[in-house]
Amino acid sequence: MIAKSTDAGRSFAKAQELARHEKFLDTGADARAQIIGDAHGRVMVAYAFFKDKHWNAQINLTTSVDFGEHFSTPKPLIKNGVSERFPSLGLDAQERLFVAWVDKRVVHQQRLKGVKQLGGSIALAYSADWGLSFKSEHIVNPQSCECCRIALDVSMPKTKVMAYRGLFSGGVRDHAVQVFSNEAHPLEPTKVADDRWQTDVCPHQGPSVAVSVNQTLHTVWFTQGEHRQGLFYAYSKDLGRHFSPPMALGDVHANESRPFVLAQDQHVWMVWKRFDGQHAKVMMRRSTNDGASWSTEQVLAQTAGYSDHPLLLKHRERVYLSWLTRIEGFQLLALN
Amino acid sequence: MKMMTQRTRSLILVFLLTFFAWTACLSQSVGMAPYVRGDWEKLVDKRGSGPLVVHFWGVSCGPCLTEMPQWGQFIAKESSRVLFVQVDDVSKDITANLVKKMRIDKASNYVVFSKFDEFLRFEIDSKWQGEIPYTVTIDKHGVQKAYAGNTNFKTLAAWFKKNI
Repeated sequence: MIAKSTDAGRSFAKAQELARHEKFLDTGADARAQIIGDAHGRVMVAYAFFKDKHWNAQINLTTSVDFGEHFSTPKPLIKNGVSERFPSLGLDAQERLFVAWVDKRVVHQQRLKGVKQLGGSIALAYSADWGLSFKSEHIVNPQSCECCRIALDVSMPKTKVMAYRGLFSGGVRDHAVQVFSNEAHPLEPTKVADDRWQTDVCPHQGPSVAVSVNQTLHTVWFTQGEHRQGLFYAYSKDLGRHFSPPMALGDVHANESRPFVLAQDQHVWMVWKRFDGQHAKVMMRRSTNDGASWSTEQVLAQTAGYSDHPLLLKHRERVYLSWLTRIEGFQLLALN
Repeated sequence: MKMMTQRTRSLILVFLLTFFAWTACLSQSVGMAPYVRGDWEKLVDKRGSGPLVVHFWGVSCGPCLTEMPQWGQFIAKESSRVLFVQVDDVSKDITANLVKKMRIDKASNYVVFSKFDEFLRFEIDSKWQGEIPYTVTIDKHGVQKAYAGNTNFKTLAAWFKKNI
């Protein structure tokens, strides 16, 4: 379903159906439909659904050219693919539309050779015509976690980056970043931190990444590693080759989850969710100097019922918290 | 409010009877019970005086599905002491088919009917973020422990032996 607001989320027009997949829609703990739009009225929605009994998934795309009044019939990102989940969309200043996703083709090929490979792979492609065709579709990392969202920031002209939960030697599900070119050609992935979370679980909690005007990479993530547990933040001034020591977010003894980061010029915002058994709160810390120092934490919103992940988004110079709660409904709070 | 006619009342009664018969038939055929927020204590009460293991898994979780056949073999010996809770929001038939395929249908199986959210998880472990597979063990003294990831079934068998 999709619903449109023209008053910054205070009210919405009647929702329209984009596709119907019933219980086969991929609505797992970290799987959400993605939406992106531009000033010309073009909107794209990407989502995944399970297409067979073996839980192989397909990513579908649907687009609008009239500010979301009408949408095209959904079509697959990959025709006859093995399995694709967790699409992530990004639009750069040249109106190239990037999409990253978790792809199972490598795992499948290995299985055919009798080699058992865990996890999935990270794939990337871009479109110069708003999804009519995709170029440079390829696997940028053949081994990754298969259960977590991918973070993508392509807003800076020189530094496009993705962050995801990798799958390193020995089954270590630590985080990686990969910087890539305007044509989606990536550098080698680098580790954000040596958390050493050697595990065979589905964490269902991917990272978030943002690039500031100084080309600083800011990233936040969740881990239950041997070296640290909880939510963490780190930055890199050299395109991910080195990261600052991880800085813990929130209270290590509390239930802290779903971190998200966004950069606007030299300002950086981090939000995450804290739960005390009765209330879920969205916490925030802010930096005005590109991550060199941070404000103390602050409660932005709270609810006593079910709530979704807190997200940050920007529109022109304004930065907003987007949060959906069952009791209060959709909330869009301006942060600057 | 207008009084309902006899015909309307009969229709409602037929509908309700059909509905209850259908749901009873469905749950009997798939052998699964709903699990919602607030159910943890009731589930733990099933322990009685012995040990109990509750295994949380999801049909779309690769590591879970890889391990489930081993749970199937394990519960052939310990079925009355292992409960399974499937957390993904999928159709009941899909879960039921997998439960049979993995041979855990002889055990007690539950499916999360409310959201698998922090409220539901907090009752079990205040810091659990939802990673699966996730297993909770409660020993004969009622001491509860939990771990995420695959199970060492030899260790679990020894634990049962010690706690019976």
